[in-house]
This record gives sequence, structure tokens and C-alpha cells, in this order.
Amino acid sequence: MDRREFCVSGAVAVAGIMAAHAQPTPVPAWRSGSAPPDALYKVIFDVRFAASQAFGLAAASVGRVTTGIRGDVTSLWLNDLQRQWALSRAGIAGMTTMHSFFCLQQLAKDHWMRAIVCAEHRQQGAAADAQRVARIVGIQAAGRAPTLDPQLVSWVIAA
Amino acid sequence: MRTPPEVSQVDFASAIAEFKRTVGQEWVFTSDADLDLYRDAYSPFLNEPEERIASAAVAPSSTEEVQEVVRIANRFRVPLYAISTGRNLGYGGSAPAYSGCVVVDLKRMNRIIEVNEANAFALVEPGVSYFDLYRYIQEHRLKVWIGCPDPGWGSVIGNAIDRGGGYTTANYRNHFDSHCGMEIVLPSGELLRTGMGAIPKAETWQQYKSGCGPWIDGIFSQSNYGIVTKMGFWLMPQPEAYLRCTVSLPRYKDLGPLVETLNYLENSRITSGFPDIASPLNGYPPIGQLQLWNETGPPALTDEHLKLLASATLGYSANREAYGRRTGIAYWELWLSFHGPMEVVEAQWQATQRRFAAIEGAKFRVVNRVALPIDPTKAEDYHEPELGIPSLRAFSIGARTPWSPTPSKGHMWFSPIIPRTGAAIIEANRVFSAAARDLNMPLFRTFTMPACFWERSFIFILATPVTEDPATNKRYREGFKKLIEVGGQHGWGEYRTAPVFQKTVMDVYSFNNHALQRFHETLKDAIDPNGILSPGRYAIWPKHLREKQS
Ligand SMILES: Cc1cc2nc3c(=O)[nH]c(=O)nc-3n(C[C@H](O)[C@H](O)[C@H](O)COP(=O)(O)OP(=O)(O)OC[C@H]3O[C@@H](n4cnc5c(N)ncnc54)[C@H](O)[C@@H]3O)c2cc1C
Repeated sequence: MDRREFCVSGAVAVAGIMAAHAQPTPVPAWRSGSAPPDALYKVIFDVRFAASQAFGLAAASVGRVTTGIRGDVTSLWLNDLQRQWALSRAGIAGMTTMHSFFCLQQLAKDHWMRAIVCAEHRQQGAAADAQRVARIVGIQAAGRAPTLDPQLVSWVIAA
Repeated sequence: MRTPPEVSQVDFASAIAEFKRTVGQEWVFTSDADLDLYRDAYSPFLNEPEERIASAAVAPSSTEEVQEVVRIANRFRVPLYAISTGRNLGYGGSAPAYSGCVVVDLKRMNRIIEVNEANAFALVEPGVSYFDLYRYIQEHRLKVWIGCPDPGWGSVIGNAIDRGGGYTTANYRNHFDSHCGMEIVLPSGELLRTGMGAIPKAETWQQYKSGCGPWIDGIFSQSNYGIVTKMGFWLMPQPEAYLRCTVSLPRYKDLGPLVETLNYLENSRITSGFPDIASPLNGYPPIGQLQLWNETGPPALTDEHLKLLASATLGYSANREAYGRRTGIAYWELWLSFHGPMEVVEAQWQATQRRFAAIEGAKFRVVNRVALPIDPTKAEDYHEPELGIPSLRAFSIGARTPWSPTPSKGHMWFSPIIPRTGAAIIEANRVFSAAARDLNMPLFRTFTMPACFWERSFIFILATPVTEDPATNKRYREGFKKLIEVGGQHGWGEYRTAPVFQKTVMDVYSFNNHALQRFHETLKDAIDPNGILSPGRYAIWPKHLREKQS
């Protein structure tokens, strides 16, 4: 199983391991990607990658608040997300490297938030999930499909 | 709903209901989606049946709630596993040592109870991260430093009781050693304070470590004898200046004198910042430069140098040494740092150079001479934890880059303690590189340098990759265990390890027919007769599981 599949099916695997009876978790409508969420707080992009920059620009053009990083998420966390998530568990989306996403995903756990989509561009079939992220951000509604870069991941983290 | 082993569904449902009554419905987690958050992202058993997973999680907000959770667990014999921030990546993450435990997640207990600038100490709860404490200190403009590990998101308490380390001066970077006073909820639910904290009106809980009588703090680290709910730490007064220098030595045989001189200087407190031994000729960076290497790529090597790297054994060849002398590339490079008033650190550096000058060909360089505090916008120019600044830059270790095209999914730290001598470094390289070769584990490139987290010993730390392929992970797990045994045969034991390997590691500590292990078990039976707390942590099993697990 690859990392992308793991993101999506981890819960299923655990259920198997524990012979558990899955509990239905309420899913906000926007998670299906049908409508952009109002609760999406911010879109993160990595200024070092053209595809990511384009994603950030596209997000800004549809009115999303964006933040550019350079791999490391320390400042984004300390100066922004830590305070924000203490107030409300607002979702974030992004197109970043896997290690930036990994860190944000770990930090989100402090608020029992999780990755609800994670498309590793280098994996086969990533395009569909990357488009789902774009839809959630609202970019696709503006008619722009995201460019993929094998070093990057498109993702959404939410409660 | 998942259930812990050996607990009936009815009992577990009752326990969960009582947990909810105690901490509030919203702070008890039983859905798969929530429990997934407690999986170990670096688990070497990822998605395999043996992966350690929780049956539920409960997040109390106060010591009283922790006490009540423990009492409930005793009533229903529900096994618990306490975590602080649960970011023990490389050593088990937030997953329990025994699958099916209820994770007691202490991250909501995040009060900074006191930071005393005048006598440089702090008292905190388990949910306080290095970021939190740093922010508090900055916001209150206090002139004290924290000692933090590479990832700043961990818990000051969680890291210390797993006996983690940082990068400031010797007496602060050993995080358990720098603690002073603990508050612990015992497995019975009773509350205990150690050191001066046992005197109801004492004002010296964070000022004198051992109180009177047996000093028991150590047994609450890397163990399962209690849940730590408060802990004091000595902080480092903010130094006036920071001086970072290197000593370069040209010959392979200089390694022994390098270590001996370093030991003298460090044990005399002439140098006390994190010593970092690199080998430029072997292409091995200092730890402090690793994140920079990961971010921007390692320095380019000539074709001749690359060819030489491929050829030497145990980091040595006469050709390599000759190449180093010809090109001015040092065999060994010791990075030292000094913290204190400028005139003091300059004098310490002078004394350091005088000592090392006894080694022929020693060269000296000042890398940074900085008046403190530094401009925060310049922090990125440094390895931040050496300046007491928490960061997450270390995670560039996992970045997919042109110079690291196939990063691993995670890693397990193999980290045996070896003697602080040059000979031990070479011997550890010989022993472990041969073993790793036999086991087909990609752990060695050329020659590995140990880390100097602790005084008087080295940690010979190797990151064993966790991959996306279960068969490879299985091979690495088995290899990892073999390495532990091989280390044990040479008198080397891990300082800390992930639950998967805790039994193998503790088996190495076998003096007098495992007297230490038996003592741990005697304590466990006395302190936690129902065996509810963190069963199996560091291979300490409660009586009812002992036979099954050994
Ligand atoms: C890239 C990278 C770099 C790293 N660098 C370092 C480094 O420089 N130094 C270092 O030390 N580590 C390092 N680590 C390892 C680890 O990430 C840190 O040590 C981290 O701080 C530990 O997690 P935590 O602080 O959240 O502790 P936790 O995960 O909360 O606690 C660790 C364990 O202690 C026990 N425990 C925790 N809290 C309690 C409590 N209140 N009562 C009873 N038992 C408890 C539990 O068994 C728990 O599993 C590194 C890891 C990575 C991936």
C-alpha cells in the first residue's frame, strides 16, 4: 500500500486489525468536494515550486486567504495556525511538499483534525484527488485545473 | 467500538461511559477516524496486524480528572497508555506499547504554572510544548532559554520522561537531568510529589532536586509506574553571547586525541555547548548542518573525492588522507559552541585552541560570533535548537529533493550508547557496518559519527528507514533487533527505543540473570497490582500478561 492509499484507507486497515465495528462519523457536505467550504481558513503553497505558486495564485483569485512557505512550517504554525486553531478548527488546504504536509497533519492532531484528502502527485491516479482539492478550494469552479509536480502533494486538513 | 484485550464489551462500555462523565463527552474518542490520529506515523508495522493501536482515547484537562480516569480503569481493568503531546516519532509516536490500551492524552493539560526568571526554572503540565514555553517566555520578555530537541512540537515533559536530549549546554540539554520535581498520579489514583514537593509548604520544589530519603524520580522515566502531571525544569539564563567555532584535524589517527581533548574541555566546562563531530573527508556533516544540507543539498564533491569515498574501509585509506591534505579538507571537524559573556566565551575559545594546538596540523575557525539575543528574523541562519529556539526544520530530513529522491516514510532511531573514545567510534563503525552489510540494511554510507547529546558517552545514532513495503519493513525490523543484540555483545545498549524493540533492548541489560528487569517487575507488581498503566512499556509487563508476552 502506498502513502496516498494509506491516507485514504488507513481507517479501514485499522478496523480490520481490531475487528472493530466502525462508527459513523458525521461528514460535512463540503468534504465530498461538491461545494467549496466556507470553513476553509487558508490555502498554503510553497513558493519554491511553480505548480504550487500557480495553485496559490489561483486560490487567491477566488478569494481564498493564502500563505506561501518555503518547506518549513514553523513560522506558519507559531504565528498563525496555532492561534487560529485554538479559536476554531477551521480547515486548511494546500499544495506543498510531503514533509510540509506531514508536519501540518501532525500539528492538526492537537485539535483532532485530520487529512481528509491527500494526493501525492507522483502516484498514479493522483489527478482525481488533486482536482478534488482544487474543487474544495473553489479553483475548479473558476475553470483552472491544478498542474501536478511529482515533488508535491495536494491536500485538505479539516476537523 | 474497539475493545481492549481481556476486557469484556460490557465492562468497556461502562468504563467509557464513566470516562465521559469524568472528562466530558467530547473528550472521549472511540471512532476509527479519531483513533487513527493516535497511530504511529513512523510505525515499522504500518498497516500490519501487529501495528499497535488504541481502543479509545480520553483527554483529561486536570490532575483530578487523570486521577479519576485511573480509578475507573482500575475498576474495569482497562489498560491505559499516557502520552503528553504524543509526538515520539522514531520511538513509537502516540501509539500504545500494548495494542488496545486507552490512550490518556494529556495535551489539554497545557498550563505553564510558573516561569521564574530570577532563579531560572519552570513548572509545567504535560501538554506544554517547547513552542508553548518558548512563546510564553518571549511574550513575557523573560531572559531564560529552553533546551529543546530538534522538533519543537514535542512536550517538555514527554520528551524528558522518555529521556530525550537537546542542543544547548551540557547541563540543560539532557532533559531528564535538568528536571527538578515531579507530580505523579500513581496507578492507584493517588497523587505523589517528589523532592521538595513532598513538603506541603515548600517553595523549593523546583530549586532542590532530591529532597530527603530515596530519590525516586528516575523510576518515572521510561517506565509505567505513574502518569506525570507536573514537572519542574531548570532553564538556562539567557547568555550574552554565542560563539561557534570549528577545530579541523588532518589525519585519521587524530580522532582519538580529538575525543580526549574534547572530553577534558567539556568535563571541565571550558566548552559546554553541543559538540558536533563531523568528517568532511568522509562526507559526514555535523548534526547542526544537517537541516541545511537537507534543504539546499550537500556540498558538491569532486569526482576524485567521490571515488575515494567509495573505496575506503572504516573511513580510512592512505589515499583519502593524502587527498585531504592536498586539498585542505579535514579528516575530522569538531564544531564547538560557547555560551556566556563575550569575554568569557573568547577566553574559553582561547583555552580550547591552546589544548587542541597540541595536535599537529590543527586548524581553527570562528563560524559565528553573536551578541544575544539574536534578531529572530536571523534565526534561520543557525541550527535553532542550539540557541534554545524551537523549530520544525529538522523535518526537511523527509523531503523529496534532487539529492534525496527517495526519502523514507519515516524512521526508527537505532541509538546505542558507546564509550567516548576515538577507538569506540571506529569499533562501532566496524561492528555495525559489518552487521548492516550482512543484514542488507542501508545504514552506512562511508563512516558514521556519533552524537554528543550526553556528557561522557556517545550515542551512535542511525536512522533505520520505514518504507511503504511491509516485506522491507519486516526485514528492517528483524535487522534492527539483530543490531541490538550485536551491540549488546559489545557492551553497547540503546538509550531509548520504540515499543517494538523494547523487549530486545531490555534483554541486553542482563547483568546477574536480568536482575534489573526483575526489579522493574517487582516494582510494577507493588505499584500497579492490576497492571492498568502502560503495560509493556520498556518491557515491564504486569503479572497477568508477563508470561504471555515474554
Ligand atoms: C526528525 C526528528 C528529529 C528528532 N530529534 C530529536 C532530538 O533532537 N531529541 C530528542 O530527544 N528526540 C528527537 N526526536 C524524537 C521525538 O520526536 C522527540 O523526542 C519528541 O519530543 C517526543 O515526543 P513528545 O515530546 O510528544 O513525547 P510523548 O510522545 O508525549 O511521550 C513520549 C512517551 O513518554 C511517555 N509519557 C509521555 N507523557 C507521559 C506522562 N505525562 N506520564 C507518563 N508517561 C508519559 C509515553 O510512554 C510516551 O509514549 C526526533 C524525531 C524526529 C522524527
